[in-house]
Amino acid sequence: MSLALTMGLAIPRGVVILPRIMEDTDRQVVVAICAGDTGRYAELVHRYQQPALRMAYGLLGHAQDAEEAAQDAFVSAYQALRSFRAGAKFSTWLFRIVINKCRDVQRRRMRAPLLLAAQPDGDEASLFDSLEDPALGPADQAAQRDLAQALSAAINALPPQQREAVVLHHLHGLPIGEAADAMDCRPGTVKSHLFRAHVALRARLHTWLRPEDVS
Amino acid sequence: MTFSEWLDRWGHRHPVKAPAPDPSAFTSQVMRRLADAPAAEPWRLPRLAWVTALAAAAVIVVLRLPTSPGRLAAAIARDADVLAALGEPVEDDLSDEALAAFLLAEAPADNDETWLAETMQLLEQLDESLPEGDSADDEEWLRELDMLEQSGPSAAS
Repeated sequence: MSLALTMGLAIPRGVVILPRIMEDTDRQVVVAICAGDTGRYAELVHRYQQPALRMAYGLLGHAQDAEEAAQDAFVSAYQALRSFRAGAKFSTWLFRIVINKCRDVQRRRMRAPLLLAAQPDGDEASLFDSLEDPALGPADQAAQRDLAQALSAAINALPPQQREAVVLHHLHGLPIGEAADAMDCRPGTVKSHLFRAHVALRARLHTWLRPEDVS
Repeated sequence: MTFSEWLDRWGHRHPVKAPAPDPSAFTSQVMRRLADAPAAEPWRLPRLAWVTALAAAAVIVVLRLPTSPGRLAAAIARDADVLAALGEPVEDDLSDEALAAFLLAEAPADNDETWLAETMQLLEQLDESLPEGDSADDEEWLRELDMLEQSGPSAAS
């Protein structure tokens, strides 16, 4: 069992956390910060900035907005650190704050759509990383890139809560229960959002999905 | 493969991008912003624990308080009124002295000396003779008082 699993951390997909034998658990760091050792908050920022940034980017599809939302989330988490329940997972608590910050950004976009960039462009057209697969030929790699862009566009077009459910569960690998905690709703609600999102995504991706791959 | 499994597999193979290329710069920016923010205060005992402790202390104090003579007198008067309303008035109307003696007998004493003084006062009010004589008589009388106390206030009358 990895050190991360022993510590009870939720490690989103695509995030590599190297084991450090003497690393304190999140809870130990939080206790130290609340006792006055505020500089140790940098450890938590360092530990969770990649998952927070990826989550914000998956929810917003815009690099600058995602970075601002993630920074705001870390600042708000620090200011509310005393309200962090001892029995909760710091990662889930932080992800909930990230989601709330992203919702704030989305609300601002709705109020002033012309002032804020709502749609990604250029390199941000695809939400996904690591698309180069040496095992694929050039034609398949091109098809892979097209599929990535089509899936990104389909996810961007989802209603906010369906998008949150897809990003947290499918793209970040959080179990339904943790996704529900982060979204501050019931697990059944997350399943409902996922079901509706699957219907919408399949409809937009039907030309890309081969029947032999997806039933 | 279901569509859900396909999405899981896609997410595993192609993680979402992380926009900030330099982790140290991101951490520094967050910590700089926090430097202007108020520092986290040291942990305090949660409010719920304080409230629970205060409520428990209040319950203990109330349970240990002796019965209030005022409340006892009011209860006696209330019972007498009920009996009178039912057509069965209390025949032995309590005089002020008898009521005071009754309340004295019911009220718990704070210590032995008080108990002894109150018992003597009680006996005097109930026209019981007080002992006289040497210390042997006193000891015998104290034993009688002990027995009297153990048998309850009703035995004294």
